[in-house]
Amino acid sequence: MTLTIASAFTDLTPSRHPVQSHRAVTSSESQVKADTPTEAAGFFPATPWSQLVRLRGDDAHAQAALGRVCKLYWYPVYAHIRGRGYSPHDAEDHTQGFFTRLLERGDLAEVDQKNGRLRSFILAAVKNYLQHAWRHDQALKRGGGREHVDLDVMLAEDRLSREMADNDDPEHQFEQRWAVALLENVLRELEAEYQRSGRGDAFAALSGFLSWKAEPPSHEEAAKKLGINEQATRVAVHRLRKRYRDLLQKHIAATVENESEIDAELDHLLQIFSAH
Amino acid sequence: MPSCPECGRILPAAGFCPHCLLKGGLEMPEVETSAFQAVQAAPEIAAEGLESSLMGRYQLGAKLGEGGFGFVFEATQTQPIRREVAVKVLKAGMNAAQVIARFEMERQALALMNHPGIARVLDAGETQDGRPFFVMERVHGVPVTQFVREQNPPLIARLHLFMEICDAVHHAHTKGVIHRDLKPSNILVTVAGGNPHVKVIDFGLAKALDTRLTRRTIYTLHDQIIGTPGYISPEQVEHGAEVADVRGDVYALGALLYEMLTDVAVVDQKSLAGKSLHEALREATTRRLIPPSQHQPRLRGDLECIILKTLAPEPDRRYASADALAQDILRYLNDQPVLAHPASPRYTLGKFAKRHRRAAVVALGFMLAIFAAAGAGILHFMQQHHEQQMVEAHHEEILLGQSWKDFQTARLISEHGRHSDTIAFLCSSLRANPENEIASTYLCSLMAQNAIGFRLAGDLRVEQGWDALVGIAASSARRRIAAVFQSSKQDRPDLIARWDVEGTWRPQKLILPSGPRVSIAIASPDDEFLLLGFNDGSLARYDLRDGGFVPFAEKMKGDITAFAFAADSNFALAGTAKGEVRLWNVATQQPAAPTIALQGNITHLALSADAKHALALQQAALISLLPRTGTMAAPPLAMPQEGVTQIAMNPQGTLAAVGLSNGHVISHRVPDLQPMSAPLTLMGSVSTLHFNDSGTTLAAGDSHGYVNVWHMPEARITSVGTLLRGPVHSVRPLAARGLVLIIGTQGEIRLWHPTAGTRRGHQGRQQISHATSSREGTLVVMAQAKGPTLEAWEQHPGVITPQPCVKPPEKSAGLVASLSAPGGAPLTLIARDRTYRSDSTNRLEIKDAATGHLVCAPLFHDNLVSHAALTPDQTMLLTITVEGTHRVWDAHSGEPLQPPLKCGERASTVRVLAHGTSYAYKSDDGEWLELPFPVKPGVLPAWFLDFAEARATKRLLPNGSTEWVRHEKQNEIVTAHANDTSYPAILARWLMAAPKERAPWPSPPAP
Repeated sequence: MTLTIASAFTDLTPSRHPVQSHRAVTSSESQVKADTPTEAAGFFPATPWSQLVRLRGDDAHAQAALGRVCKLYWYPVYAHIRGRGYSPHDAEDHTQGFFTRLLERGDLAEVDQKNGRLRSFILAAVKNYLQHAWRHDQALKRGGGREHVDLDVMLAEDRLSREMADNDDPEHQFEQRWAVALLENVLRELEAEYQRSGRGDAFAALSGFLSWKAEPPSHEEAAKKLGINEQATRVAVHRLRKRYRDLLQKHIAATVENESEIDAELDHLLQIFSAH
Repeated sequence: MPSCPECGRILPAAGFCPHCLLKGGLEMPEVETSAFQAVQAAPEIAAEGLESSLMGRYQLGAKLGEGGFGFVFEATQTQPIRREVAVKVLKAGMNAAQVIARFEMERQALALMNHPGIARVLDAGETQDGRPFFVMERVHGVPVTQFVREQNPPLIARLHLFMEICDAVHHAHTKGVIHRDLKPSNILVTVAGGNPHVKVIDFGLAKALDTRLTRRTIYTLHDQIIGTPGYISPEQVEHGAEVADVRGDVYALGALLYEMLTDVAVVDQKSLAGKSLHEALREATTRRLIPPSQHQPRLRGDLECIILKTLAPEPDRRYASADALAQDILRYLNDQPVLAHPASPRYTLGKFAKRHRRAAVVALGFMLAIFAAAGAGILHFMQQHHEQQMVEAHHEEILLGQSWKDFQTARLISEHGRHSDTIAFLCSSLRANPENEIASTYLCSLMAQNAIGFRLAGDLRVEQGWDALVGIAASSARRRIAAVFQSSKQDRPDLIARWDVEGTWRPQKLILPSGPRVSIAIASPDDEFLLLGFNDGSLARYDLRDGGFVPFAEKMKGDITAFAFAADSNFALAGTAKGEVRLWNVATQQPAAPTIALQGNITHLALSADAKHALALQQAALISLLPRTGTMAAPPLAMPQEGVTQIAMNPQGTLAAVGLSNGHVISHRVPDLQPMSAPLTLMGSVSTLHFNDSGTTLAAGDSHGYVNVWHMPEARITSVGTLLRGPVHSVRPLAARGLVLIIGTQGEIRLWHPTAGTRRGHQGRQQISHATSSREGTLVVMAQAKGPTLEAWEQHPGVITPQPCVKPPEKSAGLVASLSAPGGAPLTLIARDRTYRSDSTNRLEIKDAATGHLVCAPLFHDNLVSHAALTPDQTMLLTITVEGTHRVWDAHSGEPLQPPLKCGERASTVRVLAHGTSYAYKSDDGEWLELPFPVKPGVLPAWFLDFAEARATKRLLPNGSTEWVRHEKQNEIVTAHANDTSYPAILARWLMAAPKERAPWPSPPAP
């Protein structure tokens, strides 16, 4: 399986504005089980996202941790803003502004968090953001000298043009794109893991086993491709699928309030596609 | 459009079918497990996604231990030989390239170590998902402390065992490996040939992995702490593991020696159980050290000195290496003078005598023969004198350590904004060591910089039954609080309770006549009375001064729903649910004008200072009124559909502001209601609007905790801040120095200086729905609407804020350096005996000019340091970050002299003023602002510490508990020192004076 969009996921690290206000470094009293930023894209904090949202104004770690989660979902946000009639240029500006706003400041915190899904929160926050046209205020207040997040808009535009027909409601579309982004992130991380440990070939040969199929692909064929016996292939497929499931759960865990909600969210994501 | 061959759904551009892929993740058929070897291993192996056999050579078994970063499993090596080993694997998610590279470097360093006291590294490799692991010699042993507890070896044997540990640790140090997590469970004792031997395990993992951690990390990464409370050195707690050097390990060795000799841990780990990391660390580093001789009297003397030296909070006072520590123990065993003992001729002589005991006995016998009687007395005296000296030396050592610890704790908590606790710790630090100049300076600057608020004793409540709050008034001048309550029982009349702030806190209660219920109650602008409106249209006033209740003679039609006061409190406008609006003379309780009859419910009113202009909001229309004549000034203006949440009018009666639920604030000219400009925007629903006295500035708060300040005539935003975590309850500009008092529904109280950007505040205990503040903003009362417990806070709003600099200096009187651009040339200051340097990081290094060595850990900032300046005498160093946080340090030692002062705006230029006691900086607006340098007050007298504690209302006792101190004591102390001309007295008087009647900051007396 190839990930044509992988390169579109550019780093959405929150920009550091010079007058950004943090408390002094030793001041954090928070219990954020965040970690040092790592290069691995699929690295998640153990703290529920909603807590990160509450803490991020004062805690650089919470902010960074939330940033790592949010940056995985910039495309649905961009596509949603485009869907609301903004030009690619404006949509880029707004996506940029939205994430900066979301991560830098304690704004948007009051946006609906009641069902505990990052997905719903981001959607509500985007709507809220657009409603208040932050860009204008930002430009007035902040002036120049701001770092810009490098969104790969050309790729995103290319992708938008190939996406599903637009006779769908924007919120449903957002949810679909969210689910796709989530799966892409999972696959990307899975592939990266395999490549790092020199098993890129195994991933390429076996990724076809990840999707549900009425008639599973033949182990024999894959075994031939990999030059190992069929029994070893079964084990490898099992490991790959297990790891895929683990990663899927991990990614979903980062977007819900607690572990018990993972399965419900998985069901919901499946429903998004089943309904149509 | 391509579709999925499996389910027929249209494929998105991503190239896979999300439905089938999700389904694949949900439904995982179990493959036959015969291919797997039965794993009788730790559940972590599966949970971590680890294979059961690493590289086909190591079969993983039970978990032996778990650190922040890795697991240690017991394992069986199968090839080339079969033996038991221990395998340490990184936890999932720790596989960043840098971490892995350092892990590898560390493995190589470990491989270099060759010492019988260190567990050898046998092999290393990678797991299938790319995580590195170590294979180590498996040590079958028990933790060293358990060993000494169970075997109870004699003192000398314990010391020899400890010296073995020192030797192993020193060996590692010579190979450049610092352990950083020495603790009993990492030092195992095995018995071979009847002799115990130590093995130090778990070497270097911390060093391999900590390098990217900032010092914040240690507080936030709950389970990834580098070090263990009780063994971790104070500097490691303070600055993070990266600053820890061999002396950090020496500290841990000291904790170990303490435990090995007394069988008691320095910090009882059980007592830390259940505490958060932050609490545990603070406890461990601030807990008072019990001298080892209290557990084991025989340790009194040299061994106690050695332990205390090893456990000195300041690294410089410890042994420089593990070897030096071992050498001193060896000296003790050889009866030589130990380095740790304060030297005296008597001590040295005594040691000499002990060493040459036989000769000494002969000499002593000779002496005894001659001075039999007198000699005994002299010896006894000498013994007593020596012990006394020892006790004093220990006492002083412990006090110095305690003072240092208390100061470090104070520093930490001051950054959390817990000023009262900070003061208590600083006073404790200064009581232990009055000469701690850093702590005394810090205390004085903290008190001058921060409004120390305190919660007035006790909660204010009336007895059960009256559980709904209608309105509150608080008068700072009268020292009274009044509140109107209602009962949920319909037949129970309403009640007004009044408390004396200075008194007994027992309310005076007034039960109102039964029948009509209070529908609205607001405090007058002069805090003198509550104006009450009833649901039958009647009105009344309740005086805070004497509790007098005066009903108005005339009534209005309908529920009273809205009030608005004129500036002088004599006139008030009242509106009803039936659309009546009328101006009342509150002083005479008579109508002041004819009734204006409008249609429908009046929800909001606003009145100009002179009561000549008014605004009423009636349903969805804004109406401009001339209340004195009882007429409308203009036709009603329809309001946007979003819903009006607030209205306000400036005191001059020329401008109206209307807040909407969509966050817009629209402005209109009064009286004709012509629109003034495009809407101003807030983030969330507008929850409060307030004009300042000049009528040109509008402060508005929203439901997201934002407060914006606009210059209305130009519709220009002047300040914006996210000040609160929840909705803003009220915003009130104070007369004192341009401060704004903000109260939030989450119980926050904030004093904000919009131009300087400074903010300080306190946190109440509860979410609130009602709040009021006295005119000066010094008394704040907050409560919930239901089941109210009123919470009262008092605070002094006058604090140091940047002052406009009348005559900005042409040039700086002290050295100044600025960062040219982020990433540009480093900022460097070269002084007589120190150089200061900060490249594009958040740190500033201080080096000794002569030796080029760092004098202290780099000074840590929360952002890039953009400016640094030295006072003309080069004793203080000022740093300003790009975000406008000002810090002042002792230029020599790098200790902080004041809490960080957040001015919230960039400084483009900095100059030290000629007298050297203050500096000026140019803000982004081009304005020069001046701030004072801290004043070094010398030794603070005990009365000043009492004063500070009264201000904080608490005192820290030697046993670690706190005691409440009456805040009124401040007045008594200041009165008692009215004629004192020392700086502490000047500061105390300045703090107690009304902000309008005193200088911008306290100045030290001229020398």
